[in-house]
Amino acid sequence: MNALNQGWVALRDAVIITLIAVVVGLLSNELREDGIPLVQQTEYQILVPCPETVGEAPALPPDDPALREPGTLLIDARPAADFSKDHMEKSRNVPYDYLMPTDPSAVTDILKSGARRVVVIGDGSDPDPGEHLAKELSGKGIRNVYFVRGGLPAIRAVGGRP
Amino acid sequence: MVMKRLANDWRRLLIFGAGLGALFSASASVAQTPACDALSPKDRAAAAQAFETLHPYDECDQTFARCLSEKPPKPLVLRLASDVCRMVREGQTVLQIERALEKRERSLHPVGKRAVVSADSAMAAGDENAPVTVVVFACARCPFCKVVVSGLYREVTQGRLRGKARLVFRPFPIKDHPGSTEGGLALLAAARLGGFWPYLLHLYENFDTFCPKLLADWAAAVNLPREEFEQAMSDPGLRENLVASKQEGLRCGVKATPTLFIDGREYVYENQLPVMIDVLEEAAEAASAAQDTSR
Repeated sequence: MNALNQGWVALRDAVIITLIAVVVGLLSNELREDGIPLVQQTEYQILVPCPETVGEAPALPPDDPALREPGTLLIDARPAADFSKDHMEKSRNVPYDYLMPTDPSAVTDILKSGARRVVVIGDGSDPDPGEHLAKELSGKGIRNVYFVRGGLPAIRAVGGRP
Repeated sequence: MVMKRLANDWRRLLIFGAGLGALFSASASVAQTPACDALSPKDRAAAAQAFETLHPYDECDQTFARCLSEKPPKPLVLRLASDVCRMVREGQTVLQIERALEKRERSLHPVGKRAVVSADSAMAAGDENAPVTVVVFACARCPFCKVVVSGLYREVTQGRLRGKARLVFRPFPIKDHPGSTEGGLALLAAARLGGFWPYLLHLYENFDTFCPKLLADWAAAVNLPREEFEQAMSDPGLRENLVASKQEGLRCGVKATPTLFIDGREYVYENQLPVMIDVLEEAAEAASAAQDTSR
Protein backbone atom coordinates (compact mmCIF):
# COMPACT_ATOMS: atom_id res chain seq x y z
CA MET A 1 0.00 0.00 0.00
CA ASN A 2 2.82 2.26 1.03
CA ALA A 3 4.76 1.42 -2.13
CA LEU A 4 1.69 2.19 -4.28
CA ASN A 5 1.34 5.52 -2.54
CA GLN A 6 4.98 6.32 -3.14
CA GLY A 7 4.54 5.42 -6.81
CA TRP A 8 1.62 7.83 -7.17
CA VAL A 9 3.59 10.60 -5.47
CA ALA A 10 6.53 10.04 -7.83
CA LEU A 11 4.21 10.09 -10.85
CA ARG A 12 2.50 13.26 -9.63
CA ASP A 13 5.87 14.94 -9.08
CA ALA A 14 7.04 13.89 -12.55
CA VAL A 15 3.90 15.35 -14.14
CA ILE A 16 4.29 18.59 -12.18
CA ILE A 17 7.97 18.92 -13.11
CA THR A 18 7.17 18.21 -16.79
CA LEU A 19 4.41 20.82 -16.79
CA ILE A 20 6.68 23.40 -15.15
CA ALA A 21 9.42 22.63 -17.71
CA VAL A 22 6.94 23.03 -20.58
CA VAL A 23 5.64 26.34 -19.22
CA VAL A 24 9.18 27.66 -18.66
CA GLY A 25 10.20 26.53 -22.15
CA LEU A 26 7.19 28.15 -23.83
CA LEU A 27 7.60 31.35 -21.85
CA SER A 28 11.30 31.70 -22.57
CA ASN A 29 10.63 30.95 -26.25
CA GLU A 30 8.01 33.70 -26.32
CA LEU A 31 10.36 36.17 -24.64
CA ARG A 32 13.26 35.45 -27.01
CA GLU A 33 13.49 37.64 -30.09
CA ASP A 34 14.62 34.68 -32.18
CA GLY A 35 12.11 32.29 -30.64
CA ILE A 36 11.07 29.23 -32.61
CA PRO A 37 7.60 29.58 -34.22
CA LEU A 38 5.32 26.88 -32.80
CA VAL A 39 3.47 26.65 -36.09
CA GLN A 40 5.58 26.68 -39.27
CA GLN A 41 4.96 30.04 -40.96
CA THR A 42 6.72 29.46 -44.27
CA GLU A 43 6.48 26.67 -46.80
CA TYR A 44 8.66 23.71 -45.89
CA GLN A 45 11.38 23.25 -48.45
CA ILE A 46 13.87 20.48 -49.06
CA LEU A 47 17.20 22.11 -49.76
CA VAL A 48 19.44 19.15 -50.51
CA PRO A 49 20.31 17.79 -53.96
CA CYS A 50 18.73 14.54 -55.12
CA PRO A 51 21.37 11.93 -55.95
CA GLU A 52 20.97 8.95 -58.24
CA THR A 53 21.24 5.85 -56.04
CA VAL A 54 24.50 4.33 -57.20
CA GLY A 55 27.35 2.53 -55.51
CA GLU A 56 30.99 1.86 -56.18
CA ALA A 57 31.84 -0.38 -59.14
CA PRO A 58 35.52 -0.60 -60.08
CA ALA A 59 36.60 -1.02 -63.71
CA LEU A 60 38.29 -4.20 -64.91
CA PRO A 61 40.61 -4.36 -67.93
CA PRO A 62 39.08 -6.32 -70.85
CA ASP A 63 41.68 -9.10 -70.53
CA ASP A 64 41.22 -9.57 -66.78
CA PRO A 65 41.30 -13.29 -65.90
CA ALA A 66 38.36 -12.71 -63.52
CA LEU A 67 36.07 -12.64 -66.57
CA ARG A 68 36.67 -16.37 -67.08
CA GLU A 69 36.71 -17.54 -63.49
CA PRO A 70 33.93 -19.97 -62.47
CA GLY A 71 32.51 -17.76 -59.70
CA THR A 72 32.00 -14.82 -62.04
CA LEU A 73 28.54 -13.89 -63.31
CA LEU A 74 28.68 -11.98 -66.59
CA ILE A 75 25.91 -9.45 -67.18
CA ASP A 76 25.47 -7.82 -70.57
CA ALA A 77 23.95 -4.33 -70.21
CA ARG A 78 23.43 -3.70 -73.93
CA PRO A 79 20.02 -3.65 -75.63
CA ALA A 80 18.46 -7.07 -76.34
CA ALA A 81 18.92 -6.64 -80.12
CA ASP A 82 22.67 -6.14 -79.74
CA PHE A 83 22.88 -9.01 -77.26
CA SER A 84 21.20 -11.41 -79.69
CA LYS A 85 23.77 -10.56 -82.37
CA ASP A 86 26.85 -11.09 -80.22
CA HIS A 87 27.60 -11.70 -76.58
CA MET A 88 30.01 -13.42 -74.23
CA GLU A 89 29.38 -17.08 -73.50
CA LYS A 90 27.22 -17.66 -70.39
CA SER A 91 26.44 -13.96 -70.06
CA ARG A 92 22.93 -12.81 -69.08
CA ASN A 93 21.23 -9.89 -70.75
CA VAL A 94 19.98 -7.17 -68.39
CA PRO A 95 19.49 -4.16 -70.71
CA TYR A 96 20.29 -0.89 -68.98
CA ASP A 97 17.68 1.82 -69.18
CA TYR A 98 18.87 5.38 -68.55
CA LEU A 99 15.43 6.46 -67.36
CA MET A 100 13.80 3.56 -65.53
CA PRO A 101 15.20 1.54 -62.61
CA THR A 102 16.44 -1.98 -63.40
CA ASP A 103 13.75 -4.64 -63.12
CA PRO A 104 13.74 -5.82 -59.47
CA SER A 105 13.33 -9.44 -60.58
CA ALA A 106 16.60 -9.20 -62.53
CA VAL A 107 18.31 -7.87 -59.41
CA THR A 108 16.83 -10.70 -57.35
CA ASP A 109 18.06 -13.25 -59.91
CA ILE A 110 21.58 -11.87 -59.64
CA LEU A 111 21.39 -12.03 -55.86
CA LYS A 112 20.15 -15.61 -55.99
CA SER A 113 22.85 -16.68 -58.46
CA GLY A 114 25.36 -17.05 -55.64
CA ALA A 115 28.11 -15.62 -57.83
CA ARG A 116 31.22 -14.44 -56.03
CA ARG A 117 31.71 -11.63 -58.50
CA VAL A 118 29.42 -9.80 -60.94
CA VAL A 119 31.02 -8.31 -64.05
CA VAL A 120 28.90 -6.03 -66.23
CA ILE A 121 29.70 -5.61 -69.91
CA GLY A 122 28.53 -2.60 -71.87
CA ASP A 123 29.22 -1.29 -75.35
CA GLY A 124 32.15 0.89 -74.31
CA SER A 125 30.44 4.09 -75.39
CA ASP A 126 30.46 7.30 -73.37
CA PRO A 127 28.48 6.99 -71.18
CA ASP A 128 28.85 3.22 -70.99
CA PRO A 129 25.66 1.36 -70.02
CA GLY A 130 27.86 -1.37 -68.49
CA GLU A 131 29.44 1.07 -66.07
CA HIS A 132 26.13 2.62 -65.09
CA LEU A 133 24.35 -0.72 -64.64
CA ALA A 134 27.25 -1.93 -62.47
CA LYS A 135 26.93 1.20 -60.30
CA GLU A 136 23.18 0.82 -60.07
CA LEU A 137 23.48 -2.83 -59.02
CA SER A 138 26.07 -1.87 -56.45
CA GLY A 139 23.72 0.84 -55.16
CA LYS A 140 21.03 -1.81 -54.78
CA GLY A 141 23.24 -3.77 -52.41
CA ILE A 142 24.97 -6.28 -54.69
CA ARG A 143 28.58 -6.65 -53.65
CA ASN A 144 31.69 -7.25 -55.79
CA VAL A 145 30.27 -5.64 -58.90
CA TYR A 146 32.66 -4.56 -61.65
CA PHE A 147 32.40 -3.33 -65.19
CA VAL A 148 34.70 -3.94 -68.14
CA ARG A 149 36.51 -0.86 -69.32
CA GLY A 150 35.69 -0.44 -73.01
CA GLY A 151 32.88 -3.01 -72.91
CA LEU A 152 32.41 -5.84 -75.39
CA PRO A 153 34.39 -4.15 -78.22
CA ALA A 154 37.42 -3.98 -75.92
CA ILE A 155 37.03 -7.67 -74.98
CA ARG A 156 36.87 -8.56 -78.67
CA ALA A 157 39.92 -6.40 -79.40
CA VAL A 158 42.03 -8.37 -76.91
CA GLY A 159 40.81 -11.66 -78.36
CA GLY A 160 38.06 -12.43 -75.88
CA ARG A 161 36.03 -15.43 -76.97
CA PRO A 162 32.28 -15.16 -77.48
CA MET B 1 71.00 54.07 -18.66
CA VAL B 2 68.57 56.88 -19.50
CA MET B 3 68.97 56.18 -23.21
CA LYS B 4 68.23 52.51 -22.67
CA ARG B 5 65.04 53.31 -20.73
CA LEU B 6 63.97 55.75 -23.44
CA ALA B 7 64.54 53.11 -26.11
CA ASN B 8 62.49 50.61 -24.12
CA ASP B 9 59.66 53.12 -23.70
CA TRP B 10 59.68 53.83 -27.43
CA ARG B 11 59.58 50.15 -28.20
CA ARG B 12 56.59 49.64 -25.89
CA LEU B 13 54.86 52.64 -27.42
CA LEU B 14 55.44 51.26 -30.91
CA ILE B 15 54.08 47.82 -29.96
CA PHE B 16 51.05 49.41 -28.31
CA GLY B 17 50.45 51.59 -31.38
CA ALA B 18 50.80 48.64 -33.72
CA GLY B 19 48.36 46.65 -31.60
CA LEU B 20 45.87 49.49 -31.64
CA GLY B 21 46.29 49.85 -35.39
CA ALA B 22 45.73 46.14 -35.98
CA LEU B 23 42.65 46.20 -33.76
CA PHE B 24 41.33 49.24 -35.59
CA SER B 25 42.00 47.83 -39.03
CA ALA B 26 40.40 44.51 -38.06
CA SER B 27 37.28 46.16 -36.71
CA ALA B 28 37.15 48.47 -39.72
CA SER B 29 37.62 45.57 -42.14
CA VAL B 30 34.61 43.67 -40.85
CA ALA B 31 32.43 46.73 -41.06
CA GLN B 32 32.58 47.30 -44.80
CA THR B 33 29.88 45.01 -46.15
CA PRO B 34 26.22 44.72 -45.12
CA ALA B 35 26.66 41.03 -44.26
CA CYS B 36 29.56 41.87 -41.93
CA ASP B 37 27.83 44.92 -40.44
CA ALA B 38 24.90 42.73 -39.46
CA LEU B 39 27.08 40.41 -37.38
CA SER B 40 26.86 40.26 -33.60
CA PRO B 41 29.95 41.54 -31.71
CA LYS B 42 31.06 37.96 -31.07
CA ASP B 43 30.73 36.98 -34.74
CA ARG B 44 32.42 40.22 -35.73
CA ALA B 45 35.46 39.23 -33.70
CA ALA B 46 35.40 35.77 -35.33
CA ALA B 47 35.18 37.38 -38.79
CA ALA B 48 38.11 39.67 -37.94
CA GLN B 49 40.11 36.62 -36.95
CA ALA B 50 39.20 34.89 -40.22
CA PHE B 51 40.17 38.01 -42.18
CA GLU B 52 43.59 38.02 -40.53
CA THR B 53 44.45 34.56 -41.86
CA LEU B 54 42.43 33.99 -45.06
CA HIS B 55 43.22 35.32 -48.52
CA PRO B 56 40.87 36.16 -51.39
CA TYR B 57 41.63 33.94 -54.37
CA ASP B 58 41.84 36.78 -56.87
CA GLU B 59 42.41 40.55 -57.26
CA CYS B 60 44.52 40.90 -54.08
CA ASP B 61 47.46 38.82 -52.86
CA GLN B 62 47.28 39.83 -49.19
CA THR B 63 45.06 38.66 -46.36
CA PHE B 64 41.45 39.83 -46.33
CA ALA B 65 42.27 42.27 -43.52
CA ARG B 66 44.94 43.98 -45.62
CA CYS B 67 42.94 43.80 -48.86
CA LEU B 68 39.93 45.36 -47.12
CA SER B 69 42.09 48.21 -45.82
CA GLU B 70 42.86 49.29 -49.40
CA LYS B 71 41.06 52.46 -50.45
CA PRO B 72 38.78 51.46 -52.05
CA PRO B 73 38.84 47.66 -51.64
CA LYS B 74 38.49 45.58 -54.81
CA PRO B 75 34.86 44.57 -55.58
CA LEU B 76 35.71 40.85 -55.48
CA VAL B 77 37.37 41.26 -52.08
CA LEU B 78 34.21 42.87 -50.72
CA ARG B 79 32.05 40.14 -52.26
CA LEU B 80 34.17 37.37 -50.77
CA ALA B 81 34.35 39.17 -47.41
CA SER B 82 30.55 39.20 -47.34
CA ASP B 83 30.58 35.49 -48.01
CA VAL B 84 33.07 34.95 -45.19
CA CYS B 85 30.80 36.90 -42.82
CA ARG B 86 27.84 34.77 -43.91
CA MET B 87 29.78 31.63 -43.08
CA VAL B 88 30.88 33.08 -39.73
CA ARG B 89 27.23 33.81 -38.94
CA GLU B 90 26.42 30.18 -39.79
CA GLY B 91 29.00 29.10 -37.21
CA GLN B 92 31.70 27.78 -39.56
CA THR B 93 35.29 27.63 -38.37
CA VAL B 94 38.17 29.37 -40.14
CA LEU B 95 39.29 26.03 -41.59
CA GLN B 96 35.79 25.28 -42.90
CA ILE B 97 35.60 28.76 -44.43
CA GLU B 98 38.99 28.28 -46.06
CA ARG B 99 37.86 24.99 -47.63
CA ALA B 100 34.56 26.55 -48.72
CA LEU B 101 36.40 29.40 -50.45
CA GLU B 102 38.53 26.83 -52.26
CA LYS B 103 35.33 25.21 -53.55
CA ARG B 104 33.99 28.58 -54.62
CA GLU B 105 37.22 29.19 -56.52
CA ARG B 106 36.99 25.72 -58.13
CA SER B 107 33.50 26.59 -59.38
CA LEU B 108 34.89 29.57 -61.24
CA HIS B 109 38.53 28.74 -61.98
CA PRO B 110 38.72 24.95 -62.28
CA VAL B 111 41.66 22.88 -63.36
CA GLY B 112 41.15 20.80 -66.51
CA LYS B 113 38.92 21.21 -69.51
CA ARG B 114 35.38 22.56 -69.42
CA ALA B 115 32.36 20.35 -69.88
CA VAL B 116 30.66 20.66 -73.24
CA VAL B 117 26.95 21.08 -72.60
CA SER B 118 24.47 21.68 -75.39
CA ALA B 119 22.13 24.63 -75.02
CA ASP B 120 18.65 24.28 -76.47
CA SER B 121 17.22 27.77 -76.96
CA ALA B 122 13.69 26.41 -76.39
CA MET B 123 14.72 25.69 -72.79
CA ALA B 124 16.74 28.87 -72.24
CA ALA B 125 15.77 31.99 -70.32
CA GLY B 126 17.34 35.40 -69.93
CA ASP B 127 19.39 37.59 -72.23
CA GLU B 128 20.98 35.48 -74.95
CA ASN B 129 23.91 37.93 -75.08
CA ALA B 130 24.54 37.66 -71.35
CA PRO B 131 28.23 37.21 -70.51
CA VAL B 132 27.58 33.98 -68.59
CA THR B 133 25.59 30.88 -69.47
CA VAL B 134 24.49 28.64 -66.63
CA VAL B 135 23.23 25.19 -67.55
CA VAL B 136 21.22 23.38 -64.92
CA PHE B 137 20.65 19.63 -65.04
CA ALA B 138 17.46 19.08 -63.09
CA CYS B 139 14.70 16.57 -62.49
CA ALA B 140 11.00 17.39 -62.72
CA ARG B 141 10.46 15.52 -59.44
CA CYS B 142 13.37 16.84 -57.40
CA PRO B 143 12.18 19.19 -54.62
CA PHE B 144 15.44 21.11 -54.47
CA CYS B 145 15.37 21.64 -58.26
CA LYS B 146 12.01 23.32 -57.77
CA VAL B 147 13.63 25.90 -55.49
CA VAL B 148 16.83 26.41 -57.49
CA VAL B 149 15.45 26.44 -61.03
CA SER B 150 12.45 28.66 -60.22
CA GLY B 151 14.72 31.01 -58.26
CA LEU B 152 17.35 31.22 -60.99
CA TYR B 153 14.66 31.81 -63.61
CA ARG B 154 13.32 34.72 -61.55
CA GLU B 155 16.81 36.16 -61.19
CA VAL B 156 17.83 35.93 -64.87
CA THR B 157 14.53 37.35 -66.12
CA GLN B 158 13.83 40.11 -63.62
CA GLY B 159 16.32 39.98 -60.76
CA ARG B 160 19.98 40.59 -60.02
CA LEU B 161 21.15 38.33 -62.86
CA ARG B 162 19.11 40.02 -65.57
CA GLY B 163 21.38 40.74 -68.51
CA LYS B 164 24.25 39.03 -66.68
CA ALA B 165 23.40 35.34 -67.00
CA ARG B 166 21.45 33.11 -69.34
CA LEU B 167 19.81 30.04 -67.85
CA VAL B 168 19.54 26.80 -69.82
CA PHE B 169 17.60 23.81 -68.52
CA ARG B 170 18.59 20.21 -69.26
CA PRO B 171 16.33 17.42 -68.05
CA PHE B 172 18.06 14.78 -65.94
CA PRO B 173 15.40 12.40 -64.58
CA ILE B 174 16.45 10.74 -61.35
CA LYS B 175 15.48 7.06 -61.54
CA ASP B 176 14.36 6.81 -57.93
CA HIS B 177 11.86 9.64 -58.30
CA PRO B 178 8.47 8.25 -59.33
CA GLY B 179 7.16 10.19 -62.31
CA SER B 180 10.55 11.64 -63.23
CA THR B 181 10.46 10.17 -66.74
CA GLU B 182 6.89 11.34 -67.38
CA GLY B 183 7.79 14.75 -65.98
CA GLY B 184 10.90 14.93 -68.17
CA LEU B 185 8.92 13.96 -71.27
CA ALA B 186 6.28 16.58 -70.44
CA LEU B 187 8.97 19.25 -70.20
CA LEU B 188 10.39 18.28 -73.59
CA ALA B 189 6.88 18.25 -75.08
CA ALA B 190 6.26 21.73 -73.70
CA ALA B 191 9.60 22.88 -75.13
CA ARG B 192 8.63 21.47 -78.51
CA LEU B 193 5.42 23.50 -78.39
CA GLY B 194 7.24 26.67 -77.38
CA GLY B 195 5.93 26.88 -73.83
CA PHE B 196 8.74 25.37 -71.80
CA TRP B 197 9.19 27.94 -69.02
CA PRO B 198 5.52 28.59 -68.23
CA TYR B 199 5.01 24.83 -68.12
CA LEU B 200 8.05 24.15 -65.96
CA LEU B 201 7.12 26.87 -63.47
CA HIS B 202 3.54 25.57 -63.35
CA LEU B 203 4.83 22.02 -62.80
CA TYR B 204 7.08 23.14 -59.95
CA GLU B 205 4.34 25.32 -58.42
CA ASN B 206 2.11 22.24 -58.30
CA PHE B 207 4.94 19.97 -57.21
CA ASP B 208 3.08 18.35 -54.33
CA THR B 209 0.04 17.44 -56.43
CA PHE B 210 2.10 15.91 -59.26
CA CYS B 211 0.45 13.02 -61.05
CA PRO B 212 1.25 11.83 -64.62
CA LYS B 213 -2.47 12.04 -65.44
CA LEU B 214 -2.42 15.79 -64.74
CA LEU B 215 0.41 16.62 -67.14
CA ALA B 216 -1.90 17.32 -70.10
CA ASP B 217 -4.22 19.39 -67.88
CA TRP B 218 -1.28 21.48 -66.81
CA ALA B 219 -0.31 21.99 -70.47
CA ALA B 220 -3.81 23.34 -71.12
CA ALA B 221 -3.53 25.51 -67.99
CA VAL B 222 -0.53 27.32 -69.50
CA ASN B 223 -2.29 27.67 -72.90
CA LEU B 224 -0.51 24.87 -74.73
CA PRO B 225 -2.63 22.91 -77.23
CA ARG B 226 -3.67 19.83 -75.28
CA GLU B 227 -3.90 17.39 -78.22
CA GLU B 228 -0.54 18.38 -79.66
CA PHE B 229 0.97 18.06 -76.21
CA GLU B 230 -0.41 14.53 -75.82
CA GLN B 231 0.81 13.62 -79.31
CA ALA B 232 4.27 14.90 -78.49
CA MET B 233 4.27 12.95 -75.23
CA SER B 234 3.68 9.69 -77.07
CA ASP B 235 6.38 10.35 -79.68
CA PRO B 236 9.24 7.83 -79.27
CA GLY B 237 11.64 10.51 -80.49
CA LEU B 238 10.88 12.53 -77.38
CA ARG B 239 12.06 9.67 -75.17
CA GLU B 240 15.25 9.44 -77.22
CA ASN B 241 15.81 13.15 -76.61
CA LEU B 242 15.30 12.64 -72.89
CA VAL B 243 17.78 9.76 -72.85
CA ALA B 244 20.25 11.91 -74.83
CA SER B 245 19.89 14.69 -72.26
CA LYS B 246 20.55 12.30 -69.40
CA GLN B 247 23.52 10.76 -71.22
CA GLU B 248 24.95 14.23 -71.73
CA GLY B 249 24.61 14.87 -68.01
CA LEU B 250 26.37 11.60 -67.17
CA ARG B 251 29.17 12.45 -69.62
CA CYS B 252 29.61 15.76 -67.78
CA GLY B 253 29.77 13.93 -64.46
CA VAL B 254 26.32 14.78 -63.13
CA LYS B 255 25.51 12.56 -60.14
CA ALA B 256 22.68 14.49 -58.53
CA THR B 257 20.19 17.20 -59.31
CA PRO B 258 20.35 20.12 -59.53
CA THR B 259 23.86 20.34 -60.97
CA LEU B 260 24.94 23.66 -62.41
CA PHE B 261 27.58 24.37 -65.03
CA ILE B 262 28.74 27.97 -65.24
CA ASP B 263 30.19 28.37 -68.74
CA GLY B 264 31.06 24.68 -68.70
CA ARG B 265 32.50 24.69 -65.15
CA GLU B 266 30.71 22.55 -62.62
CA TYR B 267 29.42 24.50 -59.65
CA VAL B 268 30.72 22.70 -56.57
CA TYR B 269 30.08 25.38 -53.96
CA GLU B 270 27.24 25.73 -51.46
CA ASN B 271 23.69 24.68 -52.24
CA GLN B 272 21.99 27.90 -51.25
CA LEU B 273 20.22 29.96 -53.87
CA PRO B 274 21.54 33.36 -52.65
CA VAL B 275 25.08 31.98 -52.72
CA MET B 276 24.58 30.57 -56.23
CA ILE B 277 23.33 33.97 -57.37
CA ASP B 278 26.34 35.67 -55.77
CA VAL B 279 28.75 33.29 -57.55
CA LEU B 280 26.95 33.85 -60.86
CA GLU B 281 27.25 37.59 -60.38
CA GLU B 282 30.96 37.15 -59.77
CA ALA B 283 31.27 35.03 -62.92
CA ALA B 284 29.38 37.65 -64.94
CA GLU B 285 31.61 40.45 -63.65
CA ALA B 286 34.74 38.43 -64.45
CA ALA B 287 33.44 37.59 -67.94
CA SER B 288 32.52 41.22 -68.63
CA ALA B 289 35.94 42.39 -67.43
CA ALA B 290 37.62 39.80 -69.69
CA GLN B 291 35.53 40.99 -72.64
CA ASP B 292 36.49 44.61 -71.95
CA THR B 293 40.18 43.69 -71.77
CA SER B 294 40.07 41.80 -75.07
CA ARG B 295 38.48 44.76 -76.87
